[in-house]
Amino acid sequence: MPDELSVIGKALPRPGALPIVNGTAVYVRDLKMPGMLRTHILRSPHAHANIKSIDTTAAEQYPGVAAVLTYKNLPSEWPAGYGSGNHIRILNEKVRFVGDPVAVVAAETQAQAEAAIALIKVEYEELPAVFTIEDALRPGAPVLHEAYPSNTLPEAPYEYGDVDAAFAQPDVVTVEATSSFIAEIPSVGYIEDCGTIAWWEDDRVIVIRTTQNSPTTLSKIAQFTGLPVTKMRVMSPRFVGGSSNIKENALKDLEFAVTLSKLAGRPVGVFLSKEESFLQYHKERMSISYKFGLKPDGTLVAVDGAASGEGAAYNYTASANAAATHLCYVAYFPNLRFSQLNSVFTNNPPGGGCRGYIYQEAEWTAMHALQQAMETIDIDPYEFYMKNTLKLGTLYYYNKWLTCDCDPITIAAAKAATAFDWKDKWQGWQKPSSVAGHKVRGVGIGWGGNGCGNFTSYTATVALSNNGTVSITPSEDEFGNGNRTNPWRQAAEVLKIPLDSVKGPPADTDAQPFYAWQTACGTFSIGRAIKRAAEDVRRQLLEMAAPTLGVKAEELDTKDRIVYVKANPTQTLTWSQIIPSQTSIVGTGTNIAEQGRFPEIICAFAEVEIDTETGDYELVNAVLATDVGQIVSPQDCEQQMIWSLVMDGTREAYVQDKATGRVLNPNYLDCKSRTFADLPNFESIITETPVVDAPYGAKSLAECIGVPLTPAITMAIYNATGKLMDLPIGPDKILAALGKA
Amino acid sequence: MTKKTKGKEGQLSRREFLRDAGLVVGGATAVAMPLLAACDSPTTATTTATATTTVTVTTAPITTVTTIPTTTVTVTAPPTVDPPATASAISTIELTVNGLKRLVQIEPHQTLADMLRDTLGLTGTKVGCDRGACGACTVLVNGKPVLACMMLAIEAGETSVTTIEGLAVKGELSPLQQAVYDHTGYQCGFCTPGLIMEATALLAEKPQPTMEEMKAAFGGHICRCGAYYSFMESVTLAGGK
Ligand code: FES
Ligand code: FES
Repeated sequence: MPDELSVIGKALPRPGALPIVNGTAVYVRDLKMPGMLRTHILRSPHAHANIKSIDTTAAEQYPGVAAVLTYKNLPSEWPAGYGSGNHIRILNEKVRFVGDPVAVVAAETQAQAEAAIALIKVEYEELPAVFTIEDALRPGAPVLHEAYPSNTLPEAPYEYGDVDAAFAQPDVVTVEATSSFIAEIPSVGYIEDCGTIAWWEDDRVIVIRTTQNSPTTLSKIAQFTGLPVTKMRVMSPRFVGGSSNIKENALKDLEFAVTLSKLAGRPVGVFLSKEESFLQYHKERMSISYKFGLKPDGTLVAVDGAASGEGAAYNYTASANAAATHLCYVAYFPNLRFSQLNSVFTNNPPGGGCRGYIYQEAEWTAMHALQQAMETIDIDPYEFYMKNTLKLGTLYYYNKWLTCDCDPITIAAAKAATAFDWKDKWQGWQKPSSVAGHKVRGVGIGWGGNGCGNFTSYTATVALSNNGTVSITPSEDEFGNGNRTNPWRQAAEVLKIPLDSVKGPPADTDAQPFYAWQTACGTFSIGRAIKRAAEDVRRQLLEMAAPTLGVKAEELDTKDRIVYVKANPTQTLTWSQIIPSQTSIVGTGTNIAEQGRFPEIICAFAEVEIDTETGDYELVNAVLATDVGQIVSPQDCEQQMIWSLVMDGTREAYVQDKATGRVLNPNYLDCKSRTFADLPNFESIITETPVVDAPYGAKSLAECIGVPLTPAITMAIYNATGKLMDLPIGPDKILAALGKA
Repeated sequence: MTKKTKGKEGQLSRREFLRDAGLVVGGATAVAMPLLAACDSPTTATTTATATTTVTVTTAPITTVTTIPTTTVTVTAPPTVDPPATASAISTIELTVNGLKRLVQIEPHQTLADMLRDTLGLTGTKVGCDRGACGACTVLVNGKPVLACMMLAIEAGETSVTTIEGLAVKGELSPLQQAVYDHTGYQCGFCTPGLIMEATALLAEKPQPTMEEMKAAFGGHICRCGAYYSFMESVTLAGGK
């Protein structure tokens, strides 16, 4: 019988979080380095233009100005280390979207930096611009990057099984569908805007940044400076705002702070405004065509597809690949072929990883299209998804053939269907679930996930000291989800000590033995390494105590910093009696990545109410469900589920001037996000079916949460109105669908 | 040739507007002053030792001399002066911050949020949007929740301001702070100080608020981590304590 768990799965306050409630939590913007210069960025007013001339003389002479950076004075020894193929530099002679940085001033005060920016004279040669995937792919379209004359970055085709043979079976129904995510472009909209403080110590650059992954920041610096990683250090400010949002990629606060601090020889802080954050980064648009093959009973047989994803101006992390790889989380096709996968350059603000790396976009697009297949054979979507989802024992393909060794969803989904009352509410395709005067309700389901389960390799150490300290390295950046301290629970559980007695330094790449990309897989990848390190140090401790206690190490156990003989718990030694004075014993543990294993799948049931007079709609009921194997931190688990409401892509959208490409609403006021006032009745159902080979049976739960609610709402609106709509969905589209606009 | 006059061409941000208004000396300030309650008090409108300050204008070649009650400011162009382009009329206000009387030198364009954070070092007050749209900067002014990014510091003269740093008494958290900590009523914590201040005001009025009352009271707050329900549960736990 397993030991009773005392830390894992218990509702405990997060260690080290007191500063969040008493106002002493320090985020990047709260820090001031002595002598730190402030900055302001000059941005392009054109979507596509060559810089014919740029005159910074007046700006350089302006009081307080320490340095003006343009493409002309980038350190010449630095390589092209930017863009999808590291084919351009951090500032270039060409601008590719409205808001693309042109020059940056570092000055004593913010006001001086802003004033000096106004003195820079730039002459642009405007070029024709393209704002849609279709326009960018047209023959003769303006070319954004000379290195990519067709405006595409082709990706490797993705295929498994035998698609042609599958379609040739006699009873296969074929449905062709084209689906596009997304008419407009929502931003991440994180609460804390990006910022970087950088300074140089001799030939080594030190950076403090709003990052959720310091080691990734390190590799970015290495890319654009060409310096070895030993010449840089990235430190966490300890608190990073805006849970689970990617702050890594496009905003250039990092690049400018590093470069300007080198030019000026002083610390430089680059802090972006909300508008700048909104303007520079957004979700990827996708355009995908599918041919689905399925049996009349709804069993999926094959899919043949082609996908384009919009990497926009620079394409940092955008890709079309998820259109193929992530279908297995929506519904599993035993035969699949995507012979064409492209990311496409356009003159929109850069697109890429944002609320997860393209999962939401790719999976929404798939569900939007699959819905048409479901309706063709008239199957209940709940039945359809339950039939085709990955289950314990399913042989599936994710870059290689794998056997699903957990039940990611079916138990949880069945509970959710009951909680939501799906059977009663589902009336059939294009049928409202209820009508009361001008209030019409519809219901829908979304289903998806990702394979972050064991995404990265990781090595951790756990040290026990004579003075009783338990210290874990390395530490992760904490950006809200408990990423830093939830894996510590594994060590506290192994050593049977209170969670709040475990310590770790703030994230610091000087203390990271490896530079792993670990985002969104903390529970599993990091947790397993830490658990193994704790087991290793526990073993050493018991072996050291055994001779004194006169028994074998296996006959010993430890709890609350005391080692005792299991058969005679009064026979004890304290840790400080075992560990020699002024020393520590150190355990190490390593996890090796197994990408695609331990899939995370989550489903959402949504009920919306539409006002047929105003076109307004409201999410009234939402139930989300998943299986996590074992809950590690109940509050964090629950809150991550609720995060789906924030990630809902049906509401927020940029409004873009179609002629110039300018984003017209780069702020919270005009780009509506859900606040307290818009909360539905919400239930999250988290089941625990322990996963063999996972640390304490626990799987990760993170980015997949962003996936299912948006398609569930889209389907619900479809059933209420009878019209399939692109995102975002506002009263205008609903009234048009109802024939009232 | 294109000359950029602003970070975002053609748009004037509120901050820039405020700064420029201060520069034109201002113009706006002088006119607005009688309207500002804070300035009715002789203590709040006092000047610094510099009776005449030369200020640079960066956006338009304005040359003007305006007299305001206690400060004369000359505005010249083009820019030639150091220190700061914004060294417009510096005033001193007197107010109570977290129970302590403070005399604070401020510039006319400075927001209460900037004053708290930059001048007084009270960085617990967060700025999420700087445009009155997210609620992160909420503090209490005379017990009422106020968006510190939307209030000019000069308006805070003669008031009593409470920030997140001022809620704990001798290091002991308020019941609400304790409940938010115990219940993990946060995720990244960036929106949390503003929410705690808003909820402190709500609890003072309604010790046991309903869910609907909370949704309405917190409606102006954005939490991009979605710590919505857990925060409201924390408030419920703290209610009546
Ligand atoms: S910072 Fe004041 S409301 Fe957002
Ligand atoms: S806790 Fe992160 S924004 Fe609210």
